[in-house]
Amino acid sequence: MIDLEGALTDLAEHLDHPDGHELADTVRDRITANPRHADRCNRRVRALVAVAAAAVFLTTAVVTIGPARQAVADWLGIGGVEIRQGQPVPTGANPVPGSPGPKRPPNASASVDRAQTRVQFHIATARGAGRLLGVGVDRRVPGGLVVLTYDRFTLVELASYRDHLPPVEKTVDPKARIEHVTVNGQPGHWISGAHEVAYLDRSGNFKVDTVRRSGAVLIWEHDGVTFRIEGPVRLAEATRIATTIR
Amino acid sequence: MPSLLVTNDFLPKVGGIQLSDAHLRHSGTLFAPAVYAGDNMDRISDMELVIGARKGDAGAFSALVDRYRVPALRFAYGIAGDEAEDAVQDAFVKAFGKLEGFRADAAFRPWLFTIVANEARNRRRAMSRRSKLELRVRGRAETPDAGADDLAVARDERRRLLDAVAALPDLHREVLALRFFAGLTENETAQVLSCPLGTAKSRLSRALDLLRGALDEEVSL
Repeated sequence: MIDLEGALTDLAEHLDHPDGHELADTVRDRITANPRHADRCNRRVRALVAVAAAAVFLTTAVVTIGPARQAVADWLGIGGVEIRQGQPVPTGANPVPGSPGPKRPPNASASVDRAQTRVQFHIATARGAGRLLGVGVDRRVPGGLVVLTYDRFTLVELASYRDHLPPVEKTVDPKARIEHVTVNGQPGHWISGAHEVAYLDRSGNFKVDTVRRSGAVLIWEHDGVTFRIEGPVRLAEATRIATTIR
Repeated sequence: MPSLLVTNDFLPKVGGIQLSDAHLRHSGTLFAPAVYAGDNMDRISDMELVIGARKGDAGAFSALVDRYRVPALRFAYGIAGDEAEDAVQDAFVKAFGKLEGFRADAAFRPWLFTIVANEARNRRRAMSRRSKLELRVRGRAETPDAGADDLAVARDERRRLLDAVAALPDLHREVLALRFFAGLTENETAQVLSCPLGTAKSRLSRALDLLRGALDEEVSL
C-alpha cells in the first residue's frame, strides 16, 4: 500500500512552482512604494540618507552646545535628557545610543543582573507589561545607559547628573508636539513627532545617534534615573507601562 | 566629521550574530542595518524579525519573506497554480501592513499562512471561472545516481499523484496543501482553516481517503 503522506511530502519538493528568488526584493519594492507603509519601512533605510544631514547637525551641535548652550531659551530639561526645538530632523534619525534591535539573550533576567554591574544606577524593569527580549548596556554615556527591549516597547534608562551637562540631548522637530505630563507623580514629557537624539560622549562632545527614530516617546525622571519609553503610540499606554516600572 | 568611538558593548547583535565594526563605520554613523543572512539565521526567531520589521527594519521583513517563501509558494501553487507567485507576493505585502496587529503571543507561521490562504483562494475563485486547475511537477532529474528509467517512473508517479490532488475539491486540496506542501502541523493547519483541531484532522483524513480512492480507481482502469 502506498505511503500516501510520504508521497505528498515528496511531491511538495517537486512542484513546478516559481522559485520566487526575487520575491523579497519585489515585496520590499512594493512596500516602500506604498505611502501607507513607507514611513515604517523606510525608517532605517532613510537613516542612511540622513547621515549627511546628521553630520551637519553634529557639527552644529558641537559648536552651539558648548558655551552658548545656556543661551538657548527653549530647552526643556528632564533628568539626563535635554530637549530643544531644532531644525527639522532628517528622516530616519532616532534616539539615543542603544539600538533596541531584535536581540534575545538566552536569559533576559540574567542579562539584567549582568547589566546592573556595569551601570551606576539601579536598573528598574517593567513588571507584567510585556516580555523582556533583550538587555543592552551602552557605556559611552557617562554612568551608563541601559536599553531594555520588550516585545511591544523599548525602555531606556540612564543616570541623571544635575551638576553636569545632560548626557543626552534630544532635538525635536518644530512640528513635533510636546506635552507636559505627570508620570508616576513626576514631571515628564510626551513627545509625538520627529525627534533626534545626540548624546554626550566621554570627551564631552555631543554625538548624533541615528540608530532609530520613534514616533512618540515618554520621558520622565525618578530618583536620579531618567526613563524613556518608546513604542506605544498613545500616551495612555505609555503611562500604563510606566506604572509597572520598579 | 569626527569619528565615533563605539565600544563592543553596543555593537548591534542580532540573534547571536555580532555585526562587525565595519558595519558601524558608515560615515561615522551609529546606524547599521542588521544583516539577516548566513548560517545563524535559524537562531533568529520569527518574533525577533517581526519586532525588527515593526520598528521599520525592511531587512527583517525581507528575512521573513525569504524564510517562508518556499512553503508559501508550494501551498499557494496547490491552491492557485500559476497564480501562486502573485498570490504570495500580495500576501506578504498585506502581512507587512498588518504587522502592527500581530499579537506578540501568537505564532507567526499560521498567521502568515492565513493571509496567504486568503490571497490564494481569491485567485482560485477568479480562475476557476475560466479554467480548471493545472499543476505540474518539475521535469528535471533530482537524483544524479539514479537510473534514467527510475527517474522517469518517479516523475510519472508524482505527476499521477499531482493530477489526483488537482482534481480534489478545493476544501480538501487546501488541507492537504497546508499539511504536506507547506509542512504545517495539524494545529497550525486548524488555525489557518479557522476550525477546531478535530475538524481539521477529519478533513485531512477525508482528503487522504478521496485521494487514495482516486488513485486506486485510476489503477483499476
